[in-house]
Amino acid sequence: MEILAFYSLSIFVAMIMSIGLGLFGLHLVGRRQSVETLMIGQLMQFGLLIGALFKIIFHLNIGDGHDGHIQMLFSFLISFVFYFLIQKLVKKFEALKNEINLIIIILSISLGQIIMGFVPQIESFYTQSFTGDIVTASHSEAYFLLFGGVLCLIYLLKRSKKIISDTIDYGLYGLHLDIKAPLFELVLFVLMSLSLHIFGLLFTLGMMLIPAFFINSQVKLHFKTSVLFITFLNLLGVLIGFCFNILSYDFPTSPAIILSTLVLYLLLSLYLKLSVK
Amino acid sequence: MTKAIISLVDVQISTPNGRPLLSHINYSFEPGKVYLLKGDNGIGKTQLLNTLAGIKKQSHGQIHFELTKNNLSYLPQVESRNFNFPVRLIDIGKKNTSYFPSQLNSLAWNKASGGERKKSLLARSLEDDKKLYILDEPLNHIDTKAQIDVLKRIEEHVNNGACVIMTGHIDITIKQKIDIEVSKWKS
Repeated sequence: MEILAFYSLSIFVAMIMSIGLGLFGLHLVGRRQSVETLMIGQLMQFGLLIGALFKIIFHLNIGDGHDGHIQMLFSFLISFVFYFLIQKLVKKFEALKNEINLIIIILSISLGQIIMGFVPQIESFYTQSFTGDIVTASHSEAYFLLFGGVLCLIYLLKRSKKIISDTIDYGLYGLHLDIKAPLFELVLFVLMSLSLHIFGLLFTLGMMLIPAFFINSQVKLHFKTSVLFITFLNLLGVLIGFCFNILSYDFPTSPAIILSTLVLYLLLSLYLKLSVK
Repeated sequence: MTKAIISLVDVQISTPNGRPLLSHINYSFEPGKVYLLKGDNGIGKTQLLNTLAGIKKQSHGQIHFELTKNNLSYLPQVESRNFNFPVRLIDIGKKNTSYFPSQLNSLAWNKASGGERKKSLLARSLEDDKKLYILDEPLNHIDTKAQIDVLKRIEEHVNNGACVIMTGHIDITIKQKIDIEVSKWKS
């Protein structure tokens, strides 16, 4: 219990972030952008690596890995710029959208490996950007993330009607008619880069795509019920994952959270299936 | 003479792999009229609508728009598509009408039939006041009563000065209707 209290701020921040990620994921899967989400995540991870490289080249303090927001800034800028460049390419070859995104994923992994070959000092960053380092996040970082996460949630809540309408247009029509929503993309990038910096790629993508897959595959759910389920189950998933981590340090936090969340959504699906019968 | 809402000057439309479908299109669409694009399957009607809606770019020529995208409503043929998002038909249609009755409101998209889906899409496209309506086969998949109601709604918009450009294989009786045989532009 003492340990749980010690990590309470990290747990609370992870909960808030997981709700934000889950709700964004719901829209992204509805908009048929799951592969794009993977690609953005991979580009962000590559950006973190470039940020670390920048710090080494300019002899900045590379210290404990949580010392600067330079990597986060690089991660945000690189992914944001590349995403809009790739969108131009996708517009030209729309039928090959998924393949383009997958090639970008492969390319960024390969480039990352090449950079690591030349600068082995950044290997630890690469590993950390996968699984995150939730429990060692400093208080200032946790508050920074909390502030960002809450702002993203407020945006989702305030613009809910417009975002739902845009998701219908994207998902059904697959076109960009009358959709002027760069703000949605901007908030998504902010949320993802915040999350990826501390919680890692696995947590970020897992908390976005797992709930969205299970919720969107249930035809009987309404939007409001879906939001409630995501809020409740993502909170619970984070809490259970942390408990596993506290019980045994052999359980890495992010993978434990992902697995707990997956099991919770499987149980929900089973419950909904049985309740129909 | 009424000012055109969209003018096409020597426009060419091609398939995504570059094969020309329609060429030398010189035409002006005016407000207060219904344009019914006719032609065999695969001739390029949908491609032409997509170009007019600004979704696809023409491979040659110029298109002059006298309106902003906010004044345009577009109905594509997407009723056979699956959509994995927890919304009901009323979330898509937004508003009940004579052709989109409230009995359909609580249906989930993936559980609804093609006709039911089409009715919600029609309500989404036709119930906002716009200057231009681009409708791809609006009368397909729906029953005769709904077809009559949809045509009435289209006529109301046209009487209010809107321009409607639609495709279809059914002949319609609206006073301001102009038939366009798309095959005359075939490449």
